[in-house]
Amino acid sequence: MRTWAIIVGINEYPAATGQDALKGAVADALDFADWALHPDGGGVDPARLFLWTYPAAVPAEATPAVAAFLAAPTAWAGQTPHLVPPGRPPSVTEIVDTALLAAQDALMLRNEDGEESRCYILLAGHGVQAQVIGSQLKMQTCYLAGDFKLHPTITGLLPGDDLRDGLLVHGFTEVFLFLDCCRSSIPVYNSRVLPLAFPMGKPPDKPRWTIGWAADSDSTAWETPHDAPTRGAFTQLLVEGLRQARNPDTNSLTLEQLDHYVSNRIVAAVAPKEQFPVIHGQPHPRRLVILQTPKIPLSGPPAIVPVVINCSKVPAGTVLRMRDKNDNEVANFISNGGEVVLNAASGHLYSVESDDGVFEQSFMHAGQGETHVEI
Amino acid sequence: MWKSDPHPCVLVVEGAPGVELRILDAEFQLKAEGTVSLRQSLPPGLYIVNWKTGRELQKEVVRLRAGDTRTVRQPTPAGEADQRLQVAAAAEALAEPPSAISASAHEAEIMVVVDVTDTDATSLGVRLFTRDDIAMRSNSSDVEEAQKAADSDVAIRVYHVDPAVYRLQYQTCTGETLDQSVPAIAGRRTVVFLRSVRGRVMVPEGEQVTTLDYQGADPARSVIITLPRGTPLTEASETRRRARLLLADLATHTTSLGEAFLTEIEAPDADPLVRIYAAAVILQQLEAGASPTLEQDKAPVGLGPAWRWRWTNRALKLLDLGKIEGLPADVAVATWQGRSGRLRYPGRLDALRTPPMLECCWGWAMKRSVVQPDTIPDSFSFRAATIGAAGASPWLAWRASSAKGATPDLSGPSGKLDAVLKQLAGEALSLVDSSTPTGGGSDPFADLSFGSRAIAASALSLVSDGSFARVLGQGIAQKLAQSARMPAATLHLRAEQALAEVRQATSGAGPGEALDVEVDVASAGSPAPALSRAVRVPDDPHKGRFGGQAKAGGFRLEAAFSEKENWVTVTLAVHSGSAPDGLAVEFFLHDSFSPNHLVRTFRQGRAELELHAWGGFTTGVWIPDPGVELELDLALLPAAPRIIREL
Repeated sequence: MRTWAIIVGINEYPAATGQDALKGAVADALDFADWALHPDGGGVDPARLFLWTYPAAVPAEATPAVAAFLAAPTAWAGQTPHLVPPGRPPSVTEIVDTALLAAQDALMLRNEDGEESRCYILLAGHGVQAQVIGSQLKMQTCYLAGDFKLHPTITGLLPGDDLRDGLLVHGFTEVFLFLDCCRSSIPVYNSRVLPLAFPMGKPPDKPRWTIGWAADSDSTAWETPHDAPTRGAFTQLLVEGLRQARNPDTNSLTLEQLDHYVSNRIVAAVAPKEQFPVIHGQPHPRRLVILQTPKIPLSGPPAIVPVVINCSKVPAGTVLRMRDKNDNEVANFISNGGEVVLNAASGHLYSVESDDGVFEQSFMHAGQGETHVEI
Repeated sequence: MWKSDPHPCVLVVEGAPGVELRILDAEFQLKAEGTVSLRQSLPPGLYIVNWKTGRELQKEVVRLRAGDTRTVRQPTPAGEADQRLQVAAAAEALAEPPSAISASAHEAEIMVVVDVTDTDATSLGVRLFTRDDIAMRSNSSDVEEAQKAADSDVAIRVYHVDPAVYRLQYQTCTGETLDQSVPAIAGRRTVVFLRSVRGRVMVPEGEQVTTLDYQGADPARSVIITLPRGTPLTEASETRRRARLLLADLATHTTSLGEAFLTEIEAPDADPLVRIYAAAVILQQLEAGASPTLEQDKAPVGLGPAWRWRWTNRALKLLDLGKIEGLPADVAVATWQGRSGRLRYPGRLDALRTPPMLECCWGWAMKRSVVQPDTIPDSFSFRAATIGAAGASPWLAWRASSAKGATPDLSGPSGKLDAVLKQLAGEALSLVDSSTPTGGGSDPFADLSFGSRAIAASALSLVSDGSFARVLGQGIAQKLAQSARMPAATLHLRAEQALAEVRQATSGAGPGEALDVEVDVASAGSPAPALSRAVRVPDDPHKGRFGGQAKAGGFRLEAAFSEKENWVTVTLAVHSGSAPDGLAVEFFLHDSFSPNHLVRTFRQGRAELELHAWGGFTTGVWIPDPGVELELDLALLPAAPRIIREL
C-alpha cells in the first residue's frame, strides 16, 4: 500500500477573517507529520508528504524526522520545490490542487503495478458546519483555509466530505481524513459554500475511508490543557492512539479501537469542557484496519503526572496501595483522612485499594493535568 | 491462559434500554458489547466500561480479581436529573385547573416547553399555525400560572387545539426563524422540548468578518413526545429519554435498538411518536444496508433477505397506529417506504397534507413523488421545506422565510424524468471516460452551473454503485429525488437543464445560459453600499441596510398589491419627477427570490418591477447615478394583504 499525507495546521488567520488565534494547530500538524513519516506509523515517503503550517514551523522545535523533512520540504501545487512556504496559510485551491495531483499520481502508479494507495489528511485549525451548494440538506464540516472570506461570496471553506469523495474518485483507494476544528454553525443567511472544484468522475464501487471530526455537530473542538493550551485535544490523542494502541496479539489497530482510545481519553483532556469526537468509516470500523505495525515507542520518558487522592472517607491510618493494570504495586501510602498526592505515569489505568478490599477505586490517569480520585 | 483459570472473573454491566454497553481492556480493545445487561467472563485485570447513548459516553474503570463477580450499573447523568427537576416543577404548576376556554372544547393539546437555563431568552418567538396558515393563540391563563410556579429556567406555552398537524415556528440560535411540523394527536398532549442556547454567527461586514451573538433554540436538539391528556409531566421522563435516543440515532445514522428497548417501544401504551421514530430508525438502517439492532452488526449468514423482511415487518407493525386523528405524515410515508422494500407494488401514497416531521421521511416522500407527483402538494409549507430546509437533522425544519419568492413549478408530467436522468447519467459518464482515461486533464464539467454539477454528480454516483444496470425505470429517478431532496417536477427541470449543459460541454460549445442565474441584468453603476453592511435580521436580510427610508433625494418607493389564490402580486415602483428616461434602478429582493437582484429603468418618471410573493419582506433599492438608497418593509404597509403582513 503506497501512502501519501496532506497536513495543514493554521494557528493564525488573516485579521479580516475575524478568527481568534489558536495555540496548538501547528504543533498538531508537526506531531501528525512525525507519525506519518515513521515506518511503523503512516510509512509515508517524504516525497509524498505535504506539510504546511502557519506560522511556519521552526525546525529546532520539531522532531528529527520532521526537521529533516523541513530542510527539503515537498512542494505544494503552485509552489517552488524546496522553498519554505510563503508567509501565509494555504488557500483552498492550494490544498485541493495538491490533493488532486497526489490522487492522480496514485492512480497512475496503480495502473502500472496494481498497488493500492492511501491518503492521510489532517486539517487543524478553525472550522464550521455549513450547507454546500448542490447538497440540499446535508451539512458538511468545512475547514477554514487561509483565503476565508464571506463577502461578496463565501470562499476559503473546504468541505471535508467533498474532499474525501473527490480523492476517492480521482485515484486513492483509501482516504483517512481527520479534521481538528470546530463544527459550529455558519448559516450566513441563506448563502451556501461553494463546492470544491474537483473534476467530476466515477466514484469507486466500494470506497474505503475514515473521517474523524474532533467534535460532534454544532460543537467546539477544544485545545488542551485548558488553562495554557498547547495542542488540540483531539489530534494529540489521535496521534497517541495511532502510535500506542494495538492488539497485542496481532499488532493491528482498527478504526474501532482508535475510536475507543480517543473517546475515552478526551474527557479528561478537555475538562472542565465537554467534547465528543466522531470517528467513523466504511467498511464497519471493526473491520477497517488502519495499521498492522508494532507500537511506536514514546520519544522520551513517560509523562509523570500527579494523582490527587481524596481519602476523606477512609479512616486515617489505613494502608492504601496504588496498582497498575498488571496488579503491580506502584506506590503505597497511609490515609490521612484528607488528600494525598502521588506521581504516576500518565496514560494508564490504575487502582487504589486497601489490603482488606473494603476501599477501592479504579481510574484512568489520562489527563493533561492532575487526576483527582475519590475513594 | 485465562480460559482454564480455575477462578474466572465475571463482569456484569447494566444499563437502560437503548444504551450501548461496552467492555474494553486496558489497551482499549473491545472485549464485549451489548444492551441492558452484559455478562462477560474475563481474565483478572483493569477494564473500562462504557455506556454510550447518542453523542455521550459515560465510563468507569473496574478491577477484576480471580473469582470476582462484579456488577456495575450505569450512573445517572447530572444533566438528566436537572431536566427531570424542571419537568417536575412545570408539572406542579400545571396542576392548576385549565381555564374554561380550553380543554373540553378540544381533543388535543400542544405544549411547548423551553429550557432557558443557559440564556436570557424566554419566549423564542414561538408561534403555532394551522395548515391554512392561521396563527393559533396559546391559552394565556395556563401559561401565566405555569410560569409563576415553575422553575424560572423553563418557559411554557400551551395550545388547546383540534387534532391535526400544525406548523410550529420559533427563533433559533443562529438568528433565523424556522418552521417544523408538530402533530396534535386526538386524546393526547404533544410536548415539544426546545432548548435555548447561545449561538455565534459569522457575517460579512464589508471586507471583514464580524460575529453576531443570538439566543434561540437549537433545532437539532429538540425532542417531541406525546402523553395521554391529563398525564402529569413527571411521567414524561422515560418517554423523553427514549425519544432522545431514537432521534439521535436518526441524526447520526446509527441505532440504539435492542430487544429490551424494542419491547418497551412496542408496548400497546407506548407513545405513538416514539414508535414512529423507532420505525424510522429501522427503515433508515435497512436502507443503508446496516443492522437495525445493536445486538448484531450484520445479517446472520444465509439469512439476508429474510432477516431484512423480519425487520421491515417489525417497523410496519410499529407504524400500525390505527385511524387516530392528528398523526403526522411520517406514518404514511414510512409505511410506504417499508412496503416498497418488501413489495414490488407498495401501493399508493396519498398526497401529503403537511410536511413530515422527520428529515428521512421527507427524503422518502421525494422518492415517491417521482412516480406520484401529487404526493407533494403546492403549498407554502411544502415550497418552503423544499427550498429552505435548514439541516436540522433529524427534523425536517425549514426557514420560515424561504418561500416568499418561490415560483410554483410543481405540476407537469414526470413520465420523461427517468429517461432524462438515464440520458444524463450516460452522457456524463461518457464525458468523464473520454476526458480522463488515466487521470489528469481538465475538468470537462467546469462550465456547468453548480446546480447542474450536483445533479450530474448524483447521477454519476448512481452509475458507480452498480445501480444503473439494475435500476431501470423509476428507480434511478427515485434515488435522485431522495438524495437531492427535490420533488419530481423540480428535479425534472433541473435534470433537463443539467443534460443541456452536459451536451454543451460535450460539443465543446462553452458555457450556455443557466437557469439559476442570480442577477437578471448586470448593474452598470457602482455597487450598492448596502451589500457591505452586515445582515442584522436573518429572516429579512435587507432590513435596515438601505437606509430605512422609502423617500430620499427626490425619489419615492411604493408598493401595490393584488391578491391571487396562492400568491400576492406585488408591484414595486420608484417615482421621481425629475429622473430621465433610461436611468437605472436596482431592486434588491428577499433572498428567497431567484433572481433577487434586478435592474429596471425609468420611463416617464417611474421604474417598476412586478413580482409574486407569499409573505412580507423588506425591499431595497439602489439608484447608482445619484447614489440614492431606498427601503420599504412590505409587511408594515397597512394596505398590504394579510399574507404579506403576517407571514
